[in-house]
Amino acid sequence: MAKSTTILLIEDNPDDEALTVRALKKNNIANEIVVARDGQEALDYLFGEGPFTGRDTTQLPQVVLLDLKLPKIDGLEVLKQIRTNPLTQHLPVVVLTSSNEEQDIVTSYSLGANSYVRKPVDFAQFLDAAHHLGLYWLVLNEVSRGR
Amino acid sequence: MWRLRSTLPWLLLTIILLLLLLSAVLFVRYQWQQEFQIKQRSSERELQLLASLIRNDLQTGNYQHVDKLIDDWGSNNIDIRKMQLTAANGYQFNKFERPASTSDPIASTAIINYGYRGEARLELIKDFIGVQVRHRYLSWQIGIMYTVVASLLTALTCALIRYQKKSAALLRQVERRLLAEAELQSHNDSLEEAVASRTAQLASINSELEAFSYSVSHDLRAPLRAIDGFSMALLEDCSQALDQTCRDYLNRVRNGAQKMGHLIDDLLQLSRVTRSELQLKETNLSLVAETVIKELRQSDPVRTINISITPNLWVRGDPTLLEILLSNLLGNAWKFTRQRPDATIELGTLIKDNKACFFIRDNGVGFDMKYSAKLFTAFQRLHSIEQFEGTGIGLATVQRVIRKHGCSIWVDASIDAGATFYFTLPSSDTRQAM
Repeated sequence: MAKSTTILLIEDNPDDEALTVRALKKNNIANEIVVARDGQEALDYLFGEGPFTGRDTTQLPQVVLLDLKLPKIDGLEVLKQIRTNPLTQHLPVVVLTSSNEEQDIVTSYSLGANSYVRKPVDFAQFLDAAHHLGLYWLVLNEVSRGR
Repeated sequence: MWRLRSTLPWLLLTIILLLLLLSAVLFVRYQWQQEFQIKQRSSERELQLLASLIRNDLQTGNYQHVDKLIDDWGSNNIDIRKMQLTAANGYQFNKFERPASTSDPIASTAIINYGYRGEARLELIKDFIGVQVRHRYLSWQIGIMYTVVASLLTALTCALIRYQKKSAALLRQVERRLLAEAELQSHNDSLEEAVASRTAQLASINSELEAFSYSVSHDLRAPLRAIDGFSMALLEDCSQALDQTCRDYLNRVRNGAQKMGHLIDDLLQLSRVTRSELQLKETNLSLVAETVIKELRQSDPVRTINISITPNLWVRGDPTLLEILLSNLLGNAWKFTRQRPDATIELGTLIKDNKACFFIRDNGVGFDMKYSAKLFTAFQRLHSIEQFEGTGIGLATVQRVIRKHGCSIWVDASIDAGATFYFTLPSSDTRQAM
């Protein structure tokens, strides 16, 4: 797997996107953040299809932050496709969503999510969650920049 | 129809008995006639024999012998009633006579010619006593036989009718039962259909509810997150440009958003409790309580509270729901003892109103029991938000958990003397709950 410092954020809500980007920055995570607005766009990016034809698909993101409720192709389907493709099957995926439904948590883990973080209303908690994400997925994988 | 069917055997029996009687009478009469004819013939022969004997004596002129013969013959044959020989010239020979019998006699007469133009008339009247006795005897025999046969036939008919009635009753009963069974079956079928359609309806409502709470969980929280998040961003990133009042406003915005977040979470928990399927397991309630207390201590480490949990309280319940139950009840106890320096929370069992039940007791602020009816209704609060925070959904959730287990919960409290919540839960199969 080629080394990359990109974080792929799959999020359709611009507010959540802005807040997530800000939270990551606040936690001194300076990785490049690529945003996909729906499931289709995310899969096109990862597999170099559609508008991303010609992208070097061996350049995998460091981590994928995946919202579950997405237009076109929903988050669980995206996760399933990531895990079935040999290219991306070991890619770390963190499910980052509003849902606290037990069914979503169980399905996410059974589809191979590495972590499940619920977006809290209290943004301080969200920062905390982002902080833990940064520590775990970026520092532990030794590609952290700007820490 | 039924009357005809019940009277028909009796009618038949009567006809048969009448026919039998008729044939018996005819048989007796026929016998009588036969015997009568035989007797008549034999009497005729006797007369001829007697006549030939008398003729011999008359031809030889032995008249004395004739008289003697009449006497001897008459006394030796007991069925002779009268015997009389009269000559043509009117001369009366000896005459034999017996006292009259009741029966009809048979009279026969023979003309005896003897010698030259001699003529005598022999008259013989024979009694029929033997035939009559035999006939009477036969009549009695036939009568008795007839009576016996008739009684047997009657008894048989009675038995047959009773048997038929009984079997008809049995048949009717069986018919009724079969009919009832068929009815029951069709009723069951329609019931099953109704249940199936209701189940389908319920399932569709449930899945709608699921979709609803899913979108509530997602969509309602997203704008709240934006409100809270950007308020915080303003506070952090533009704090120089904001004065104290503005910062206070932003903090109020954040508080409001967070409260609504809690409200949504609590409502979702309430709805999850309602629609989740009960999965009963042997559960140690004491351990669940200790976990909840541990979490409470972590979130509020400055408090010192005496906790007393009776160990090994085993119940048969849904562990997830039991945790929701205890986190609400113990959370309340934790919250409402806040002003007590010697706060105490207790979990144990006791017998109340002849029922083994669990209790959670605190020495907090308590409440007036006249409001207790409102307590388990959603959005009902007995304290102001300034005094104690909360959404008013916790105890509604608690009651749903208890009701889902088919059990009950009640409360005893008074102002400033704490509150005790009593509740029952399905007892553990394998372990002693006490």
